[in-house]
Amino acid sequence: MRWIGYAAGCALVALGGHGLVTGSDPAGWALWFGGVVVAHDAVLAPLVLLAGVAMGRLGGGPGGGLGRAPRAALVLAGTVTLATLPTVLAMGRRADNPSILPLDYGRGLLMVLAALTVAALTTRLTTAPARPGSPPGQETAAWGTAAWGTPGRGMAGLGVPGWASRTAVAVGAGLAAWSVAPMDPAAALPLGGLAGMLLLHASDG
Amino acid sequence: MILRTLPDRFTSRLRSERVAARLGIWLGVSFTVAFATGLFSHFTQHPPAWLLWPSRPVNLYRVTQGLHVVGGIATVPLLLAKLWTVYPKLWQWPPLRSAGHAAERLFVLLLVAGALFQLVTGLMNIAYTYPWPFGFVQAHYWTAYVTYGALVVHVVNEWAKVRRHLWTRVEDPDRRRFLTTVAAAAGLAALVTAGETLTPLERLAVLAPRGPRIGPQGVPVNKTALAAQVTGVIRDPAYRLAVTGAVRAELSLSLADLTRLPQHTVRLPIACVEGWSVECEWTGVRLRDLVRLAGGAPDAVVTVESLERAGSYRVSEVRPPHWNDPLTLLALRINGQVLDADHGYPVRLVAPNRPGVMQTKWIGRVRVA
Repeated sequence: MRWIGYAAGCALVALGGHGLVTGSDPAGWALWFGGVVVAHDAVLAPLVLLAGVAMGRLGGGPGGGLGRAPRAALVLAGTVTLATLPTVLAMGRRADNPSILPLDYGRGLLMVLAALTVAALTTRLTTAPARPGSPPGQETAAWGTAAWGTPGRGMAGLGVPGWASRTAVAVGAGLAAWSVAPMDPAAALPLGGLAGMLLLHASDG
Repeated sequence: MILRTLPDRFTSRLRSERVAARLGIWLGVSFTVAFATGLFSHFTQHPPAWLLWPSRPVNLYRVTQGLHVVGGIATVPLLLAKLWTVYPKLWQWPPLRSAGHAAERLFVLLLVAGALFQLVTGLMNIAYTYPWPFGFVQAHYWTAYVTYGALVVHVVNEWAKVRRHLWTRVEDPDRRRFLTTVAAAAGLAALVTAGETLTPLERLAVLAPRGPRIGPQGVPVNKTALAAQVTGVIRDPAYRLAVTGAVRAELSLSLADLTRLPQHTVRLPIACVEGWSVECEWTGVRLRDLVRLAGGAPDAVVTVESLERAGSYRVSEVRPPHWNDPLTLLALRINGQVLDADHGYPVRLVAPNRPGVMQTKWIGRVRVA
């Protein structure tokens, strides 16, 4: 069974390699094929690790970090920005075809980022401080566990029901997105609200 | 010395075999969907002679290509999280323990490079940005085989771990939260782009490269009449649509002749390889009626030719299942209006379950063979 898998995998790799050598620009392809690995392993990954160390040291309170929601918000913001970056940069626009990349993507990204920021802050504000005596963070890598792991009691501890603080997060995020795109409430309010709920879900676990 | 101890310096407790396995399973599903839908798209556009794709379901290509593109966008957070989780392994010491270990790492290198390459080139292609020297279609297509082959080898190597963790819950709350965050990121990436094909979500698609209702006559286009260099020839009063080839009587029809033939109205999507799609109402002559009028055989292969002089999609083949389908039209109107030049005036092809690049515009000739 194992060797069938190896044979199938090697055959696919060989087929692809053959096609690339005969039907493409092998040198240019190799440059990009290797280049993306170097860009990730030598640039992007170390930057993320540094950001993780910085996040672990910021905040300084019990748990020694930024807190769950801001961390989750940074993860969402960073990955969604990367996943849509070529669209946001919109270098592919063409004078003859305004239907290509027609939107204001700077504003679109700002809507998402504003919603995540406000959702993170609202979540953090409505979350009671961590239990006293939780160990200080020793984490040095990205998305370190210490701050993320300290469970807050939420507004339940203050007598505010969970649904109320959840609604506050979603509404706050919706309004934040709307403030970036005041002419477009039909897009901004649901988009911001959904982004806020995703963040809440992410930091709740 | 530093290199020897480097892997131990990654101290995050979020990294674990179970987290890596869980992310690996998600990625395995996502890359399988991308590979399958990508191959479907490729062989729809370049079918071998024996392959007759069905013309139904009408929205099949729309769905598979939407999955390919939106799924690809949503895969970005998954891949980055997986690579973060296993990053310390990049610095393992000694780097190569044996020939088998070297082979294993070679395939991991192919997998990582291939996965990043496919996502980067795919994302740039949907944003019409081409900073590389190679052709996108060929490179993306062939690299898919390299990537998926390396994935198969990797899955075989890691199968024991996958089985160990497949149905086990991630107990550690921090690790579970980490996975939830990654899933939320994938969801958010899909949410802000899916509306370019899933039209009920169009208002939310603030980061999609297309708006499904933005373009001439409220419909996007890929190639304009200006880019195709047909702005003059399509307005020529001497325009004729020629039906030639293996027919009893060749036809030469003016635009007025075409409008006098029985007109039909259908709702069909225009579904682009770049993932956007939108349903429109098309009115025109059934291709089937035209071929029968000329006396072509029902199993003939029809080729439609654009008035463009050059371009890789100037000509497209319409095989029997598609041209015999009553929904397949030579359309003269879109959403009740005469076709805009950019939508293929005077006549364009529109058929069900077919990529947009093969819905040939500015048709001058229908060849039956």
